[in-house]
Amino acid sequence: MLENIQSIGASICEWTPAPYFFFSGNVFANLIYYSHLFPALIALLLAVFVLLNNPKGQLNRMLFLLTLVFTLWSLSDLILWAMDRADYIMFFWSILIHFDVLIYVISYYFVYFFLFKSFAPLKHTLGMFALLLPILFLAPSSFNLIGFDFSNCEREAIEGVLWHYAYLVEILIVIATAFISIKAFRDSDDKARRKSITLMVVGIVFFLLSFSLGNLIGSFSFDWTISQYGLFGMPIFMGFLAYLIVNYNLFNVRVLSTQIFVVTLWLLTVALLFLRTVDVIRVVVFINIVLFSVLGYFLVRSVKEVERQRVALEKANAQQQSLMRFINHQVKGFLTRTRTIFDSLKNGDFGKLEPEVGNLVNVGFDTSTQAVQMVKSILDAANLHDGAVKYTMIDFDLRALVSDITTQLKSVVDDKGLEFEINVDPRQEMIIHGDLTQFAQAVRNLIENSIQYTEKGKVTVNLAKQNDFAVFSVSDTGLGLTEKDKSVLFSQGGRGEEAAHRNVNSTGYGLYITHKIVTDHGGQISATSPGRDQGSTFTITIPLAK
Amino acid sequence: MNLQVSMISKTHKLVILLFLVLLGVSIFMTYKRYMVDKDFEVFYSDTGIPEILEE
Repeated sequence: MLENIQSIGASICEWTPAPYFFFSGNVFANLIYYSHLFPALIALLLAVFVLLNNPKGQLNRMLFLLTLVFTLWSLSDLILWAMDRADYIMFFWSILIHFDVLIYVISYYFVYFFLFKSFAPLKHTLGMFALLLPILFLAPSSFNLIGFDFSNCEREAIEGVLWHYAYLVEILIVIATAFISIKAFRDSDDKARRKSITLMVVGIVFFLLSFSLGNLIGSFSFDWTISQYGLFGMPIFMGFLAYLIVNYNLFNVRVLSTQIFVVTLWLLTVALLFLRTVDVIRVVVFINIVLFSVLGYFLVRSVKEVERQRVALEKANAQQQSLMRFINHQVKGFLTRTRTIFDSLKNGDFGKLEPEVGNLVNVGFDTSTQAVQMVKSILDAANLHDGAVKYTMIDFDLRALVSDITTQLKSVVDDKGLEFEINVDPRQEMIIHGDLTQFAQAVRNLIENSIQYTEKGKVTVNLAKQNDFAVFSVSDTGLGLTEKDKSVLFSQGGRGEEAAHRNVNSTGYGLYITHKIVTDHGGQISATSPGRDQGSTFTITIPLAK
Repeated sequence: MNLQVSMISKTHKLVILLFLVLLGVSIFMTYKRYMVDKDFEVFYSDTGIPEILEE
């Protein structure tokens, strides 16, 4: 029967044999080679570089696996275009369904790992497993392919209901991928991270949707030429990946591999010019070569620049850390000893002092106390920034904490002649989960700041419950903030212009420390002010413990 | 960005292994059906001669 089909096919349809599987006269347009070889080779090339760079990286392995399955899909599909034998066509068309769904499954795990830095949980794998079981069991049956269509010369199989099921599974996986991405995007408050999530997800969803749409159009319209354009989703996805590699150091790929990648890509594209000759495709290839030349140049240049900056930054960081260690071990020790000496003199450990000397000793004690505080806040900021601070998380009552701190600071406010208004509901408990000592520092910093920068008027402390959040705020009638001040307020060493003049001893690290502690606790901090000398309000919003 | 290998549970590994085994069996059964047994239906036109469709 098979020989019969082949000989009729050869005589009536002019089918030609394909001794090397991929190449035969049956492939009627260059677009088929271009759409299959070009995306698969580029993707595989980048994936191999990425894998060689870090063979143990989970994300690197997943990208390699994804491109490997995509390449297998492309090559199997290419065989369908080239082959003249019904049995080969039936077999390779049948196994396409495996590769087809696998591309989506691996993409999901790849995105999940990229977003959450961990492998998708077992229940996700069980869900995928359940969805794929019908495909695994029914792939060798006529639910997959009903039969070989010899009513025309198109060399096509007739797809069964299993393919519609596979498309449904694929769409579900795309929706799930988009869902977890949106969740990760909303959970992140880091701008750069949000941008990288957007790029990665837009890239992969575009690839998967173009792949799905291409296949769906082919499946329902029986025009498989249109579906070829769907394959170009892969190089576009790779383009997004390349951008992520350059800008976010994804996969830690170095300059050399980027250069090799660009040169090979260029050569590969040039080689396509000689594959077969159809003028329209030549124009497309030529445009691609020009684009690659320009983009490749900028890609290598920016990778070099990023690498240079990274090395410089690492060096500066090492110097900063060494300085911090020096401050920690030496300067803080000197200052503390000086303070202790002044303290002993002040307390009369060395006899009664003359009034002039006593005044001098008091100034010495106050100055060394300020210096110790200053060094301590710089060190705290450095430790918080490096993640060296380990939080001891417990449930505690924020209301009691605020009450304690305001009581302690009452005398300071009174000494300055300011009014102190405290609006804390004594009947309402506000339990939050966090590090009591660190959070106390954040609350104290805000109130002390308000007292420090308010010359007359009042300081108001509010604490209220709003839905599942505790909202703590400190308002004052003091210095106020300009728009320029607000932009640097929570950065390391960031101080308002006027604040730096009025309090020369301020380090500018207090608000940075407060911001870091609050955000590390899942909270938010904001500052509002009508303008210079019109007071300001600092607000902390923190989730209540469940 | 920490992209090192993350640990997955033994059960999780077993589920993935079972999936891979089933995938292998499924592909092998497909191979056997079409390439070895040549077991598939062929649909002919009314005349028994394939038509040449216009592009």
